[in-house]
Amino acid sequence: MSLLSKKKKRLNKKMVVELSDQKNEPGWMTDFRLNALKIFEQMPMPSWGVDLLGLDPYDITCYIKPAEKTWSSWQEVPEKIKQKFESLGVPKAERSFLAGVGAQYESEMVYKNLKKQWQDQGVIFTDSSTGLREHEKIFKDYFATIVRPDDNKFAALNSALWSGGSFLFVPEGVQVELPLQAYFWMNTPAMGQFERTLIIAAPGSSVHYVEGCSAPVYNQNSLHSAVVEISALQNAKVRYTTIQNWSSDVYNLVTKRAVAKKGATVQWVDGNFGAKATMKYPCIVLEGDASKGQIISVAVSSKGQHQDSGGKIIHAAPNTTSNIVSKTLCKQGGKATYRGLIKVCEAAEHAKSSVRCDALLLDEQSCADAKPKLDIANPSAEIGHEASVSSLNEEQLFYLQSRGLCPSKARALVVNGFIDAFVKELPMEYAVEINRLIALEIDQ
Amino acid sequence: MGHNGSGKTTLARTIVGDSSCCVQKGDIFFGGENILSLCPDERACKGIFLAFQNPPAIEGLTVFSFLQQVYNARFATVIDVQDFRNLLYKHMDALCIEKVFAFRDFNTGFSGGEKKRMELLQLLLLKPKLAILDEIDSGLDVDAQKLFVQSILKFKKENPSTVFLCISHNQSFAQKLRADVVHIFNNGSIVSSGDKTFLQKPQVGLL
Repeated sequence: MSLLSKKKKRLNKKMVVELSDQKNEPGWMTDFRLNALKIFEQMPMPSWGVDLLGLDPYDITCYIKPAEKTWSSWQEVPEKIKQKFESLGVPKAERSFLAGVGAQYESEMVYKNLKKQWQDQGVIFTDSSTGLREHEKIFKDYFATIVRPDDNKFAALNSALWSGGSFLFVPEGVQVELPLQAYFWMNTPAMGQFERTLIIAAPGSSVHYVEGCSAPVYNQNSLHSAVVEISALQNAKVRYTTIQNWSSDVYNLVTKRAVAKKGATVQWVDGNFGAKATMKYPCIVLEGDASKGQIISVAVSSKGQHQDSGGKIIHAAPNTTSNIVSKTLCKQGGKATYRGLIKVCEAAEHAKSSVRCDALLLDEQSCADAKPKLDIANPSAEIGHEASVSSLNEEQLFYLQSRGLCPSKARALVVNGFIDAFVKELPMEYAVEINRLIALEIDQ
Repeated sequence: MGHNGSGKTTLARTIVGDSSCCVQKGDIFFGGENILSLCPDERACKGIFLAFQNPPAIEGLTVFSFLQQVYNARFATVIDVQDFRNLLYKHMDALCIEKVFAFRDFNTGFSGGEKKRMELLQLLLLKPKLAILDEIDSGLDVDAQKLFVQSILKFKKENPSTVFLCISHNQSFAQKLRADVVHIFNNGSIVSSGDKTFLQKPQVGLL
């Protein structure tokens, strides 16, 4: 790719056009990208949240991955990364992918079989570029309707440069039994950067979408900025699970939003590990009567990291209910902020919401704060909010040790207990990996 | 026995290895071995057990999972889940603890009496060589007290080598447990001692 060689170049219009041309996109998408670029240029950098001074989003080397950074085989992957994977017990095939090896993924066959199953049900599950090419009508109907380019500066950047991500359409009444896992086609290392995911669950359908993995992704890019949009139509159920573990130099600035129509349910299950700085607040707009939203998240912040995350729920219709559970772990001087919003519009009679955000500090250098916001325009709303910041409880540790458990095991039990509300929402294999990851993290 | 603040709990916790209780002088021997330098978990694996006066709650950790891990640590084994379930349920039955408790978070939202049952349950499971019971009777209703006395006496009979050190304010509880020796604690020291008849004597008014 000619773009790769011009490292000093600044982000510009020509690059956006080239990207769109390369992907053979229809004219409306090229225009959309260019318009988004204009918006991106006009919007100021966010003045709140994490410290973004170290990030120059116009510097194209921040997001165009130099070709020499991929490894062509497992043997070439640095020892340190290999060891981390070994200790996590990540399956070999997955390890290669995660380390950025561009080789064929071994589970190709498995994937093909699953794909056939989905197709028989009429499910469309593909990467977003293919989605646009092959299902343009439906793609266009929903794309950027929930997160518009002018939503925020990084949504604009994603809109201009998006590439990859998933396109998922579940037809009316179809229940997808197994969680759909997105990493099957993520075999080009650069793709995870500006992914654009679009999920449409037709009336009465249900689906669980799982993305990411608990093992660290060694991406050389310093900026990750994704946009995820979910439309849960009448009585549909969508659960979206992400676990991300970025290397410690990444700015992770993500916009995730869902709209729930009448009787629909949306759940975000969101785990954030690694990264230098994260800004991520999954949002659910409860647009239809009696729709439900739930956001369960966990963030682990370690040395030099700032996790600024939380959740937003907008109650825009009567009898809507929501629930946010946020668990944050800070260690070795890590910093975490819970930032949340519960908004109840005037029309939302009898809305119910409960928020619980807890932070656990593993040492005295770490810190956590909570910035919850309540905006209630209808007096019939029932809102509960609980927040806590605590340190590792010495009495609990002494108690566990007095029962014969070694200190690191005792710590792991307390910490795993703390995030249990999150872990029990995960598919089994992820839950196991998360527990192992936490044990590793707190042993360091 | 002894007044509040006389040092009973501190002594118990020191024996178990609480690092906030600093031993300035003396040693602690257990089974002929000086255990002063051992960590709490090492002492536990030698068979020392403390039923806490105020046991903490641990959110997100089920009673079942906790007890299974503790059992494995105590006996340096990996017990089959099915076997453990049978063993646990047997002891829970004996202490009139409903099975649903096995899958609740440990001590989370438990009443005072329920927490004490959890301590006693661990005594039965872990079969320690030295069992220190720190006011295991406090906060129990009459029926529960009776059940506790019966369970402890039964355990004693089945495990005659286990030594008990019971801390209590309740003379009748101590009598029912058939204490062999009674020590009165004051200001960090034993001020008087006697056999079980000691409990009926007037100096007990000291308490």
